[in-house]
Amino acid sequence: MSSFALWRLFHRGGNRGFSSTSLLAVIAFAAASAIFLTVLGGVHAFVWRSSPSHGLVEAFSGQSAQSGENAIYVILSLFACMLLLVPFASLSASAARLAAARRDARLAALRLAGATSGQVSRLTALEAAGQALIGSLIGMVLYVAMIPLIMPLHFQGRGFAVEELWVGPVALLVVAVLMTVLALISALSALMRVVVTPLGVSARVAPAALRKWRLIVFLVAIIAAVGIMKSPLSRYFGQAVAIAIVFGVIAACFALVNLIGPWVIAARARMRIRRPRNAATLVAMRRVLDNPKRAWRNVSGIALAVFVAGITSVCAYVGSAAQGSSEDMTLLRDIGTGGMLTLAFAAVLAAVSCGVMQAGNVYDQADQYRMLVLEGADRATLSKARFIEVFTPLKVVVLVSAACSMVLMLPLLGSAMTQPLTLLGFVAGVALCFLLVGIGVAAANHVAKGIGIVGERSDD
Amino acid sequence: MDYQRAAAAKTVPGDAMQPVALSQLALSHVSLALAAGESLAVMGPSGSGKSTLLHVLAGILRPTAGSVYLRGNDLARLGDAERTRLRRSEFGFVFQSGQLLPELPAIENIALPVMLGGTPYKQAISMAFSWLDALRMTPLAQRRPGEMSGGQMQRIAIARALCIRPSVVFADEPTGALDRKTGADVMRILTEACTQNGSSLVVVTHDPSVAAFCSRTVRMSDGLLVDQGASERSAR
Repeated sequence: MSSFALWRLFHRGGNRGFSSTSLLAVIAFAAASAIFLTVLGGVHAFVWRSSPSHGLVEAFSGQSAQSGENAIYVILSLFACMLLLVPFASLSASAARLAAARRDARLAALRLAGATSGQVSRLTALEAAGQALIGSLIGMVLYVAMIPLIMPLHFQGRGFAVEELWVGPVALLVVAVLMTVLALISALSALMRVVVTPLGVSARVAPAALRKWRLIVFLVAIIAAVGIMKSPLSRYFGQAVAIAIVFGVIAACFALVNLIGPWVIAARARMRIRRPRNAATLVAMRRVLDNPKRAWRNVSGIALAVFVAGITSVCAYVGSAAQGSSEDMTLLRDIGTGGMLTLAFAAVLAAVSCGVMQAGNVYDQADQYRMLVLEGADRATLSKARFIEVFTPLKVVVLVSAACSMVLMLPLLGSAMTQPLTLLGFVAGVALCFLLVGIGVAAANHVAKGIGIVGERSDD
Repeated sequence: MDYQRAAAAKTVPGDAMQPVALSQLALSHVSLALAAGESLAVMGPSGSGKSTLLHVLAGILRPTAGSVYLRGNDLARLGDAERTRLRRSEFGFVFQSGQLLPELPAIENIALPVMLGGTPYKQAISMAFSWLDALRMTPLAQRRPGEMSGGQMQRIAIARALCIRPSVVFADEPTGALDRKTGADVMRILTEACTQNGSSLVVVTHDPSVAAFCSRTVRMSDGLLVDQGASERSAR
């Protein structure tokens, strides 16, 4: 039987759980590509503005002060783009994994029935790729719909024009292809297990504890970074060196936060599990401890964005506080706006990511949920567990990254940090993150409502 | 006082409220009573309405007509929240498989239903531990379901069902996923534990050797109770 014939067999409809997970994956792919295209549009806009011929090369080769200024905007927008790559990649990967995971049992059965691993792999590949393609097409529509929302944002003292934000058909095609390939790779790697064993049994064992050395390395690096910033030597650095150091420190912090994130989340969950307040907390914290890396992946995008927004909000404050209307001040203000924008995009990606994860859990563990409801767990308890499972890691990472950016910026701009305006903008950004992630989980809870408590026995 | 009556019946054709064709009924004219501490096996072919009967008795499904009494209270008249509370305090469940949360160690899986009733963690854990001890499974306390055999998981599920000290334990094919010998072990533990606890037991099964563990067996066919069993009590 050809892979396509198998695929047709699986797509004759009539299976609700199946089509719902497909829908979830498509939503995730759509959100990821819409945001990616929007950010790409921003990069395009700054390249467009930087030279009369609207080319990337010209943006950097110009000699005038004006073109130097433009180059900084292009670099910073590329930087924001790179920042969003992390949550973007993790969302696409989790969407593909969701697509694959739901098929575990079915594909294992296919293998037992004699399908070759090649057929099984091709079938999954076809599935995930199809969802990614549909998702990215929807994402394109969303991207176009979002253009009017981005246009009024002021950068370099003026709003955007449509042709500045429109990335063009080639870029759209590239993003769609990229999306599909990424989905293919993620789905295939997620399915390795099933292909290896026809029994497809995913035995759960106690997870390996995350080592303490992560924390030690992290603390040493932070102290070193603060030391460099505060040292009298820093006065003699040229501007270029200073910028390089700032970027270097930020990049190092990413790596470090990534290193320590899962560990901190697991530590916090262990703390809460020692004496859980109620059943919802118990279930939620056990879930987090079951896979701290997964909990981290969902919110890691927000961690990075909060860290950057903490720094950029200081820029915004300096930019708005200064009396002069020089171009430097405009740049600082724009950096602040850009940082907040990045934070908002990261929040949307994280919200979709959390929603997809929780909805995936709902389907994967329908049996256990049914059992809990039978035993008298009301749905409010289960919904609460899902919220706690996402918000505990979120709170932890927001605290840690906000603290990190404060510690780093404090020596540079001590006074600005304590200004209510700076903090207000920052707090508003963080509140937005919580709100969006909350909406994501609420959507997952809505999915859970659709699952009845009367299951079907496998032998009936 | 501790006597429990359970009766479930569906509409007959011609009912003005809900006209349902007789052939569509999962249960029809079922009348059944269960005494405190009694163990009852419900047998019958697939699709005969065994599971529906169990769901109706446990207040999960509301019968379209008829009533289900637990100590004089009609379950069919209670709201969803009240039935949820009732299940939490009065009923325990053991299913074929897939009932333990994979992320929780055995001890917390047992304690969870108790915690759902609002009992603090420490107290719930110590209650769970006494059940583990009673069933001689203390070495399994920190194991997670993925690290246990099918028989061990069912034993944990039994401890979990009994931990809330329910008045009725409902078991739906509790040995369906086990081999004969392990299945017999699990059934012996289940019936003994229910007896010690004073809980009634309702077991839905295909397997006569499982039914043999119960004090009474009823048979179902096409939604009808065709054999009331030896020690029948009349339902009113």
